[in-house]
Amino acid sequence: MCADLLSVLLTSHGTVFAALAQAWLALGASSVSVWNRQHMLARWPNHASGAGDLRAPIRVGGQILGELRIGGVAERADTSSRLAADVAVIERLAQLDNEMEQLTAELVQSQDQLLALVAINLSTRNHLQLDETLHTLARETTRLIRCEAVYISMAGAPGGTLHLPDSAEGSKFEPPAELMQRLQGSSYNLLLNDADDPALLAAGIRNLCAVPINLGNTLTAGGLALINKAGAGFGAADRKLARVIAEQAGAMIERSLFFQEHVGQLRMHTEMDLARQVQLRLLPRNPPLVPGLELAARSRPALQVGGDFYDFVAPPGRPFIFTVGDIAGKGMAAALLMTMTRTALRSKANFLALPSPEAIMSRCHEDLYDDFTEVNVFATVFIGQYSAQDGLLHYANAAHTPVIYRPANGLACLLEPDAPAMGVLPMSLCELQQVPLGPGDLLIVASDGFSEARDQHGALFGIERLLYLADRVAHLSAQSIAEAFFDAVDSFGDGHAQDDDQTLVVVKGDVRVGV
Amino acid sequence: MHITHRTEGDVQILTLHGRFDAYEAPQLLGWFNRMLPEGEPRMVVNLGEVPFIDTSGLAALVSGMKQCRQRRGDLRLCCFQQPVRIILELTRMNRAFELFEAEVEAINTPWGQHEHHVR
Repeated sequence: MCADLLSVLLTSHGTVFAALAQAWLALGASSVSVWNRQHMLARWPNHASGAGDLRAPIRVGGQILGELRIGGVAERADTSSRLAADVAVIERLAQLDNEMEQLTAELVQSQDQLLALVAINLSTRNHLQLDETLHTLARETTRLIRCEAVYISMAGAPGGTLHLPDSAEGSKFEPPAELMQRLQGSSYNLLLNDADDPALLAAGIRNLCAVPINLGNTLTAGGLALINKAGAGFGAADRKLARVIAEQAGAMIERSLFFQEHVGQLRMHTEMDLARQVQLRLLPRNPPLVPGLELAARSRPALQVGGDFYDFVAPPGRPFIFTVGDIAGKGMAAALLMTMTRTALRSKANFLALPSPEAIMSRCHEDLYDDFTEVNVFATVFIGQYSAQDGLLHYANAAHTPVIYRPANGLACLLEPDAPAMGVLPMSLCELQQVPLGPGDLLIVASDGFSEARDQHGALFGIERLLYLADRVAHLSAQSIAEAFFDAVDSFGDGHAQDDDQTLVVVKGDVRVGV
Repeated sequence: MHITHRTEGDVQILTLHGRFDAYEAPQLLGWFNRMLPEGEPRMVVNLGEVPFIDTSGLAALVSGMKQCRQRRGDLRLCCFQQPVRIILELTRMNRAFELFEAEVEAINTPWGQHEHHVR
């Protein structure tokens, strides 16, 4: 409490003092005066003289502020008690003034805090990246708390952010190990006004105030450390403001993390979408015209990108070859290996001197085995080659199912593979096989997305249904057969989500050839 | 699915319990990465308690088999429920793995180097 509080009181409550004085004068007193130690602050009437016969100290909060003196009145019981009552009134006034001053100071401080928060909010509103948010927060906090530096440590923002007033963008800061220990040990509840640690002093830290930053009200995700405040260091008000800023910071950081996650997901979706478009473009849109054959093909991935593929290779003067494959697994990894496998098969089919199916299979197998082993996948592959001269389809099949063959005048049956999938063993075990493919003969190379399609109750479509379907639609064109297969699994699933890629190549001996 | 492990002599026996699909495959891959013994690993995987296996499950078994053979050991499969046997035959995994009806047979049949060397 300041010593000249009496002067302030005399100014603010002059009429009260004057009224007290007039009452004494009316009772016959010659003078009433107020003293601060040896100095007289006020006297009624102005021209009066004399020091006063009655004296009483004015105390507030145990401290003597000054005296009230009454001249020309003898000390009696009634004058003494009246003087005591008057002093009590003055003391009460001083106390009220004092409380008012404190309340005003607190109000001003609250307003400052509100303004500080608004400023921080405004300046971070435009930053949604975590790094930018932390830099802005550190910069604004340095400005508002009027300290030399602010250090923010956040899980997910390694190294923390230090803001120094002369660096515009903040900088990465590795605090001394001793400081980190003390910050973490105290869960970022630390107030050091006389840094005693030589390591901290060596790092230029004289005083420090740290508060935790919580996410979702409970999880401590990091902390805010204010470093080096001039003068007596950090007070209770600074600490309170720091807590409010830290609360605000928690909310901003949450928002920023949420935004980043959202952007990350969006980016991933965009990339997956791009991958899907690339994949779809790699698959032939229309089958080639091959004398003696009717062809149809379609692939439908279960996810945005798939592991199934098919391809047609029909270079002029070379045999017609088609491939169908399924990479074990789903998503991006399967999609990447799918494009790799398709390309390897295509290149062998195009450029091998004698591109028989089992030779293509064997060479691709050698090329891809190490990569497949590296990423723990394998691929089922069917390679077919049609020879118009003898009306035969030669093929090699590495674990690809289901492959359905239906002779023009017979029943559909399954052509079982003779070797494990590409990538399982270091060498291909496929042997060359053949079936007649004359007019009306039908070969359907599907992927297991057909046989393993499920209905609402989880039952499998199964091989038997596929064979029955093949018999029923065998008379249709290749294109209509393909459509019938997709329609059949769709109506079987009846809204059940497609679990796996579905790919189909239909090869039918052209009935017009035989006419 | 859960995995139980025991040792008989120098043979490690893993018994898988439950469906073995894409969700469960990482568990077995993790076991191979962490627990595959030093030297020439001799593994038997007992599938007797597995009612269903998909391509991801097969891929995990293939990965384990390759790791064993790379170190001049092997991974054998034994005890099959009908759906698992069908998948193994349909995908011709019976040409890649040594399959045994009984666990004791898988453990005690002499362990030579597999005919399919692995790079």
